[in-house]
Amino acid sequence: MIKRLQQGQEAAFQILVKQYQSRLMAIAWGITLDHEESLEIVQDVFFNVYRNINEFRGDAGLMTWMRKITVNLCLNWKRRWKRRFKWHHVSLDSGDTLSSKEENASPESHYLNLEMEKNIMAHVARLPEKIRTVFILKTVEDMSYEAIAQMLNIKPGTVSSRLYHARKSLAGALKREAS
Amino acid sequence: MKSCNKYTPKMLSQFVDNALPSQITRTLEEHLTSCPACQQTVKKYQNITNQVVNGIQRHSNRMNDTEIEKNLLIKIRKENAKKKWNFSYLNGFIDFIKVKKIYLQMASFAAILLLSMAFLQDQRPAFHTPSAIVNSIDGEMASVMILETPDRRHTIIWYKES
Ligand SMILES: [Zn+2]
Repeated sequence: MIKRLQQGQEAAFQILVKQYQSRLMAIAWGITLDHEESLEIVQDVFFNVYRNINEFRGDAGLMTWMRKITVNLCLNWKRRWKRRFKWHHVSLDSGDTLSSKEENASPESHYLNLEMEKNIMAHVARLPEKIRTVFILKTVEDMSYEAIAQMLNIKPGTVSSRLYHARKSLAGALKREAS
Repeated sequence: MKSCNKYTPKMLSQFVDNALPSQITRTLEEHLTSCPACQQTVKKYQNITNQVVNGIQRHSNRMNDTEIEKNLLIKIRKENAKKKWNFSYLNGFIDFIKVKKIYLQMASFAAILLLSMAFLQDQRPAFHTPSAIVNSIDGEMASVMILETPDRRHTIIWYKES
């Protein structure tokens, strides 16, 4: 597969996309909770693979490599800016002043608007991004603490704490919702 | 339900992740058969995981699975075409910065610009949400993002060495 990719075979590349796109989408959407942006990110990941496949030595595995690119793109400072911008978006045409309501716009209010109130993902959206990232890598990819720690350059103990924090917050939110 | 003081919720979270040493895992499994409190917590955590996995699954089911492939081909063709026209105005600008080695000056200029804006806008928070991202350029050594603020429409050039 990798050999055929390195030869630039379009068919091999199409198979790669078919095989991995939903897995990468799950990670990207879990972290960004933004459909359009996840699509963009996953496209960029494959594009990255297309351009750099000749430098790929196969020591870490293709999925590990693509997963890392995905997470890096999700946490890229410019993308985070753009996301923040989107969530706070005020059109230039809609007048100048920010109302206090708009100033309070946030990921969670954005998703509450999308009929996700009853969905656990609305609560996942409320988690701080660094906690959400760890939580998504664990739930979606079932990575070990060590693998997550290595990827994000944090300690395994921090991974453990963030996962516990995520579960505690989500459990609390669901309990409040139920009562 | 009585709470349990034998295992902390954090340990149970690690148990759910299969991240405890095997000896402790075995003892905890044994304990679970006789402790409803721990049982309930473990079930709750597992349930959260399942719900999130389902939520994400539901989302990917709505995905049109040829969209990425299609867009990717367009992008690859564009890239191949762009290689022929490698000289864009903005890349030239980045190259100019690189050659003249004026990163520091530019960074301080941007800092001064931001600070003076914060000063001029007394009382208001120093940082305003941009109303539009006009452009962003990635260079080999630096990235630049051009933003516009909503109220006074200042243009900010946000600059970062990579
Ligand atoms: Zn117990």
